[in-house]
Amino acid sequence: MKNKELKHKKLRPNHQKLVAVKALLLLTLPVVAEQNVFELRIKDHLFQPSVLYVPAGEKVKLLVLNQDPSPEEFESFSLNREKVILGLGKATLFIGPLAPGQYQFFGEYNPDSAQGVLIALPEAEWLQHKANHAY
Amino acid sequence: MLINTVLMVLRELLPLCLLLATLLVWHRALWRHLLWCFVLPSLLLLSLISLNMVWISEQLDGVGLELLYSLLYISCYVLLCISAFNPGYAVWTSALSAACLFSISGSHLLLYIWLPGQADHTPADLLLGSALGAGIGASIAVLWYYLLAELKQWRSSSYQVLLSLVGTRQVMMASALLIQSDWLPAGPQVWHSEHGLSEQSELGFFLQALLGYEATPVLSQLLLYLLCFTLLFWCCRLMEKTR
Repeated sequence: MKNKELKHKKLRPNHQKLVAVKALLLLTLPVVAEQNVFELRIKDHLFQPSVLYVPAGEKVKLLVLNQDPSPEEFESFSLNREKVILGLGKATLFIGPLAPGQYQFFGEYNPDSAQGVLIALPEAEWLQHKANHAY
Repeated sequence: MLINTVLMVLRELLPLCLLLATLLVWHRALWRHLLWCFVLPSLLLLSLISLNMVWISEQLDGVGLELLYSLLYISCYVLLCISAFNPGYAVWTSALSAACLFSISGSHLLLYIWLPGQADHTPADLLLGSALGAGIGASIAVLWYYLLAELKQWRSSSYQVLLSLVGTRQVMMASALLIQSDWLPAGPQVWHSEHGLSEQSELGFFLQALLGYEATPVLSQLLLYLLCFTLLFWCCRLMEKTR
């Protein structure tokens, strides 16, 4: 009986620690929502469009289509993303949720020409941009 | 494009050189055995990945290659834990962990150097850039080797900490790929140290190769890093006690 009581006493602080770890892990889980998909093309070692607008505060799916025969590596330090896209291939990247602002990206294999910027717009500006460009 | 080649080669080879240097300090007496155990699996893995790269990249909605690389990074970490936990297989598992990393770096470099479209680069540029990048990486690794060898003699726990950091770096790389592929939730950004220590600076570049430094890590990465570091360090301490 005493051993059981001692066991329970020992388990209680471990159980509390486990609950705390679980709570911390739950913070990392995203809210499930429909994702916006944006397309980026690589042609003649250039990104098209070179300026891409996305909504801030949401996770977005970026579809990168490489229309060149040679591979390219999409890289962005500010977005913390890097992905090799094989020649005439496509790749999928998930980005965000991003704070409003500008995020540079470039092609690692052709950094002089393949450059672009991703602009995350706050909600009001994004809705305005959507209305103006009929997404 | 010479400088681009140097940076590409250095970026891919430096983490591998640092890991090999760390492992060579550990298995100093059996270094020939370690290198032999490293070479054959490395070439085999690299061949398998390179020959099937197009097919792999098309799998699972285009994230096949990321998932494979994540698996290799995690395997590298797990093999290091096994090496520390079970000294009987330490040389083999250490060599295999380095082979996992080599297959990732090697496949990136093959893509850059050998595939079509590299006609813009002259062979001389590619050769010289590769030699320079490899040379710089090897030089840094040699310095790292001697630093670790001195530290290990003076205080073995410091070597264990550094080995754990090098091992946990692989988990950091895997987590970045999994987050990018939406296979791991990211969570909120924990800090932003880009202005203090940029990843593009020389020190940031070195710390990224050594410890997996991120200027903008997210919560899941930080939690994984702490957990994996603790586990590997515990394995190393256990190895020390059983010796």
